[in-house]
Amino acid sequence: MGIKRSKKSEKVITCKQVTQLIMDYINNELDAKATKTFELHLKDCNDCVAFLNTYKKTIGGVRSMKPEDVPQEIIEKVRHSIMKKLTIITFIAYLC
Amino acid sequence: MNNLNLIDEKGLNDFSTLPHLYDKRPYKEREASLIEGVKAGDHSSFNEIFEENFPMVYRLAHKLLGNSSEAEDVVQEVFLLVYRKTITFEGKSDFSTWLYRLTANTALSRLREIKKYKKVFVDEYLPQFNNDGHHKVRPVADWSLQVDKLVSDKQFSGLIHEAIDQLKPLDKAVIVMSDLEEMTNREIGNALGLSLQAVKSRLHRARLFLRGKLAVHLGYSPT
Repeated sequence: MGIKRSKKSEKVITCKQVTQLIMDYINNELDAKATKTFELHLKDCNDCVAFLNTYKKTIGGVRSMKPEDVPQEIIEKVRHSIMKKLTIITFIAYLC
Repeated sequence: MNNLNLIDEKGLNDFSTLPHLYDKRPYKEREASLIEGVKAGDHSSFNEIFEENFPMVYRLAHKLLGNSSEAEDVVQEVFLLVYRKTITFEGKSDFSTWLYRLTANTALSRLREIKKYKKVFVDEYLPQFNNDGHHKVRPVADWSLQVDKLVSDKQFSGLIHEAIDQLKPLDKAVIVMSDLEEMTNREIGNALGLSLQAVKSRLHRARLFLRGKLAVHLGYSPT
């Protein structure tokens, strides 16, 4: 849905502007006036409500992915390789 | 050189009498002295720093590069850089931020080499608008509730990783650090050498792209 008429004193923003401000809105980084303008748009625009819901859900979905534990064998493999190289580096430094 | 003295006195890998081995304080409280240890060439200090930071470095490298073998190479490169370059670490930023920067730079260089010939049309998944500022495709479908169902499915993780993999290296780094590593925008900016505004802009664009990919997967218009 588009934006309905607003009172004379209220600033009206477009769906495109809402999309540009959406991250700041979610992070509570808009000032009070901008927040009011943003929410006023949402009140009359189902398209932007749907967009906001799906945008927020995308972030939530990504964040819900639990970090996988790193297998101990990989840690040991890399540690062994690094320590081997360090020993060589240190030995060469010692010789020089 | 201090490190050579240590080798002369205690042998190449014998640091068993160093006092920090008896220091039972949490890692964060001992970090500064461990860094000094590495600067002096102490392998056991280096080993503790490795032990503590390996998961973060590996996770970030793995998420940026998308495979274990490349990630392992990058982790090795990063920790060898840590050993050689800790001497230049002045403590002006957190050690973890410095380490994130080393990891991101090393992984991004590798990623740019790999991605040299791949081209992805990210714009096709971004929202589009008419001249009057309204959404081009209306009504915009609210598929948010369908995502809950999808998240519990193993396919979701694969879908998101595949989508993240299609982003430009720097955009990929920003979204991985923000939404998977839970770093603040300021920390990401410090690690990647980007302004706060540049981080926010890249993060927003990356999220819009992922949203578009999810929409298409669920059978809706990305825009």
